[in-house]
Amino acid sequence: MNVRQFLVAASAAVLALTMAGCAAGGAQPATSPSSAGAVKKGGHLVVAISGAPDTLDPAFTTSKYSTYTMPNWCERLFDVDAKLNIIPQLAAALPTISPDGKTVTIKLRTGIKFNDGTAFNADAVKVNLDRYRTNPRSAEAPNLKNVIDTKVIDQNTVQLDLSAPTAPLISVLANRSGMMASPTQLAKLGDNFGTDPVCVGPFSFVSRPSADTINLKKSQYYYDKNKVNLDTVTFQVITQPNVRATNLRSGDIQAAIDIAPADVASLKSDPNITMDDVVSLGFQLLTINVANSGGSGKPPYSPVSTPLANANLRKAFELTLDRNAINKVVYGGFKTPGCSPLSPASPWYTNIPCSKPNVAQAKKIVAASGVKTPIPVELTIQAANDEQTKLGTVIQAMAKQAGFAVSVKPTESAAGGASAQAGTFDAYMNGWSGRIDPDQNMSMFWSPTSALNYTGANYKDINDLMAKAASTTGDNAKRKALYAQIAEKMNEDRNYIVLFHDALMMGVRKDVTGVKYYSDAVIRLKTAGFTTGG
Amino acid sequence: MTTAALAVDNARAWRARRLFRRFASRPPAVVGLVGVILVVLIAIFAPLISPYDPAHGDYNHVFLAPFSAGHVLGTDDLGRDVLSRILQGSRSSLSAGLAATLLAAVVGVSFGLLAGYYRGPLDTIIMRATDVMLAFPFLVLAVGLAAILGPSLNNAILALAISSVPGYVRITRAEVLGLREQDYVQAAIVNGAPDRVILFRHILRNCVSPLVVQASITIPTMIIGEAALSFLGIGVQPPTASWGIMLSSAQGYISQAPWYALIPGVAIAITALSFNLLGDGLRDILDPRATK
Amino acid sequence: MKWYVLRRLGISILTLVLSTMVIFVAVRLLPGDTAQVMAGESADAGVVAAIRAEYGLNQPWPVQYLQWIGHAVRGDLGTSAGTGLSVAGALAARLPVTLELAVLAVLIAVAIALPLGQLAAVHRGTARDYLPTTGSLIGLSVPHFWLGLLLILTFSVNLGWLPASGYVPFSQSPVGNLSRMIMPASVLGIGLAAVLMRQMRSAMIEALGSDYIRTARAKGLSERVVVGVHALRNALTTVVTVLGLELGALISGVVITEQIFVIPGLGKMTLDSVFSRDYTGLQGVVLLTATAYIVINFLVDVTYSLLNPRIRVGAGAS
Repeated sequence: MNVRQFLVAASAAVLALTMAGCAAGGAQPATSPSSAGAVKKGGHLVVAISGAPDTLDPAFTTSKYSTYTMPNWCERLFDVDAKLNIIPQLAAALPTISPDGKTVTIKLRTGIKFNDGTAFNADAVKVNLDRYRTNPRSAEAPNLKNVIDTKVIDQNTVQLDLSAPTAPLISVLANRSGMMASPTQLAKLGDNFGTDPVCVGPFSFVSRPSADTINLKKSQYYYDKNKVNLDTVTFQVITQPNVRATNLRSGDIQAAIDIAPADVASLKSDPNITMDDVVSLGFQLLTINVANSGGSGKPPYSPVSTPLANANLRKAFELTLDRNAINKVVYGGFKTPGCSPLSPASPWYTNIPCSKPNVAQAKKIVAASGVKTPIPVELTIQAANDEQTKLGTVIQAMAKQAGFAVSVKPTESAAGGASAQAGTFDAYMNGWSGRIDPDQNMSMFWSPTSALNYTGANYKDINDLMAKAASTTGDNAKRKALYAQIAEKMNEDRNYIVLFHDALMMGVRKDVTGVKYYSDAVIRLKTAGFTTGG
Repeated sequence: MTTAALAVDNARAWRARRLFRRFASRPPAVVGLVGVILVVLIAIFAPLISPYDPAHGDYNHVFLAPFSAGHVLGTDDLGRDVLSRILQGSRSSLSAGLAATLLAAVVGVSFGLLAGYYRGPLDTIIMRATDVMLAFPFLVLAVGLAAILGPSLNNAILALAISSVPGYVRITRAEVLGLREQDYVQAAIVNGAPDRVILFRHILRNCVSPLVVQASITIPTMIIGEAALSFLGIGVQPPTASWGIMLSSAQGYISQAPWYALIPGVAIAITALSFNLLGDGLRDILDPRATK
Repeated sequence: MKWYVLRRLGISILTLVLSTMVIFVAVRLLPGDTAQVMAGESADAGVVAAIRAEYGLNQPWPVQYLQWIGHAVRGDLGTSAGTGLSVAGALAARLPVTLELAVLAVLIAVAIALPLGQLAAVHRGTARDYLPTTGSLIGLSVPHFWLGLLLILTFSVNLGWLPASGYVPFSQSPVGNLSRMIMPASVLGIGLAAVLMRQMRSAMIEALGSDYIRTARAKGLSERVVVGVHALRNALTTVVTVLGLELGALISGVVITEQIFVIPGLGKMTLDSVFSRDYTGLQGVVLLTATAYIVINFLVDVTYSLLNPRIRVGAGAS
């Protein structure tokens, strides 16, 4: 065993331990290991992603696949490091916040150019932020709703005036709202910016011949272009996991995300491939219709008449679910079982105890409720999705033990989303890809006015705590404690039953190095390159 | 019973015997018939002969290879007995094949009769409608129905039936156009027999042979169609077993458990082949053109 | 003849117009609002309304339909709701892929079916008839998506000879292109060959019993010439007929085959656009397949009536 092999084996062992002690573990950010040879300049890298981004306009996109890929050609004011701490990217430093929390000042890097040669400055930032705030189609407007004004202080300084202290703001600027589009290109294309996006980034957009292919080339204007190795990059959409795995093994592609548990063993045994796995910020949640009587986001809510609207029966239902068994059977043990919307990968994570599976107690609760068994529950899952089908089948079998007759209703995703919003469902299997800020993993599901509040949740204590935590700027420890408190309260109400935190599994060919893959699932290719040895 | 009626009965019996002898002299057709009977029996008695509950998974024994202790065909990704699931899957396959064919035949024959008998504007409307149906991609129809009505076996059957209606319309119409000019039909029309009587007694009865032949082609196509839709996730829904669903989940494990992809495929192929052999035999004895 | 072609043309155009209406309405019957899908599940009502206005989705259906058709005849099929890309551009990029797949499939089918159909007809009632005939029945009975899995299992997973999936343009790498196309084209081709072989066989049997052949034989022409000449003529009409009849099946087959082999053609676009509620994309791709179906059937009918004038009377109305 040479040194490198030893290091790989050792880190694998550490990783395994971390996964086992999931609750205590944190993110294990992955960077594909440096291989025997040095990195060479040039080359064409093909990365397979598991779904197609919608539009490539940061103002309009809502697809997680845009978020995963766009930072390669559209850098943001802030980024995160491997441990998910926010760091400046196009900003020169972390922002300064006034004592009342209502004024945020951001210093910008100087001498930077967009990928069309346009100068990057405070005016450009203002154009972008105003577009995100005011364009009628902007998907980012809700994230910036507390920003009442953006001011250009000087060419390198922007000031945001807020209506209230807003803790999630910086993480929002480390996501799509922080992507800065070239004002020249925006003036030219307007709402069609997504067809030919020009931003600041290590790569510039070349073409998107079909929804499934995005071609990039190394930028000539990038401020840090000496660190960029690759000449060209292609993001290729391959939806079937087994096909991604096969193509990775054959060398047709050099990296692939979302490797399915079924393919992990064969890829791990392949001498040409390295597997990176990190705990994701994302989670799977069983959404239960408690009071969504007239459409999500439209309070007041009144309780629905389905059995699981009864809080005791929800408790009994959860007690039948064995998260570890689900993880083992459906996902080959690769997910991290848990019951909080906050991931162990997040610096905001607090370990809160999950209820242990207890069928006997579940039966008692069901008997005490007086509801006649079998209790019908219709569980909506995504159609034509093998893992969801398995998950549905396993939940069905588990809940049956306490007298729940779960009927699995696979629904094609757009129809499922529509019915979830309308409240015409009992239970709905939903996933969230995860955000850096804790508020953005909780409030969209629990805020009474959020369109994602499918369950009709409206609990005064949670609403108040959530508002308090979101406006707590400056004292992270205090804020973190508030979220732990909120997560525990959520688990008492059980409008959502979080089942597990996702695993991000990326396979990379061994002759590729420098791909950075953290828990936020962004595929960072800035320093990626081929090794000379391979 | 009058002598004339007896003679007719005798003639019918004689014809039936002759057809049967011709059928029996074709070994492939007999093999097909036996295969079809077997599959039907399996579908009827599936719950009785299944060694396990097809929906019950043993999570500690997933992907047992065929011929493992207690599991002749092994277990699947959730540890369910593959043999039991194959047996249960025969029900979805057969019911889809038969129900879709029946539905398509009833609807298609009705419109074919109307179009061929009344001709004129009604004919034009019906035939243009079938043209449009043929031009509309079947899978889009099936996926669309699954999205509107929800994916289920019944909706898959509906989509399959709709897709084969045009065939029945065209065949029936062509037959009716020919039969309508026959002397005995013309005579009945002149004698003022009601349309209903002419259509059902004189015309439909004489269309039976080509329709049986068409049905024999449709059934195996529908069986494969059901499997395809279930394979795409828009047919039978879990935990009910279907050969198409089994294939679809096997696709993800093709390097891990290749035999799992073989078994349901063989089941589909054998069933469809039995119907095709039987249909070929029927075509030989019923369709005068085929025996020329 | 001229009247027949004109009449047939009129019917085709009528069918096409009716098809566009069906497509338009069918797409809008799908549950789940395209504007909502574009805006994302978390979007508020204002964003959805803005999208609806921008894409004209708030207009009455007849207005939307006329706008769509008006642009479509000028080659503008709109922009895809999800990606904002041009639908016509996407079709242009995908059409050659599917076309290559279909043409290869037909070639494979013809290469298998013609010799076997002829062999079976000439040696009717012998083993040389039964084997190919049974073979074609098996070909009809095997689901092609399963055949696809078997081919992948054998040639990619076990033997490692061929790439399991994907697509490389022919211009970029002819070998890479063909090595990826051979399996999907075979899957489609084998299904088509099964149908074609049976038609060839019965057409040949009919021809061999005809007066023309008897005369030719009586003249002392060699069996090879008799069969060869007739085989060619019959092959032509039969291939044309079967293609017309099987086109619908071929189109559906393409959708599922492209799905299994991950080929970025029209079939994959069809399914993707249904799932993403991309009205404009779905309308475009269905319009293209329907048009192709109608045009090819028109050409088949006309060709057929040229090859075999008797047909005109019978086929005229249907």
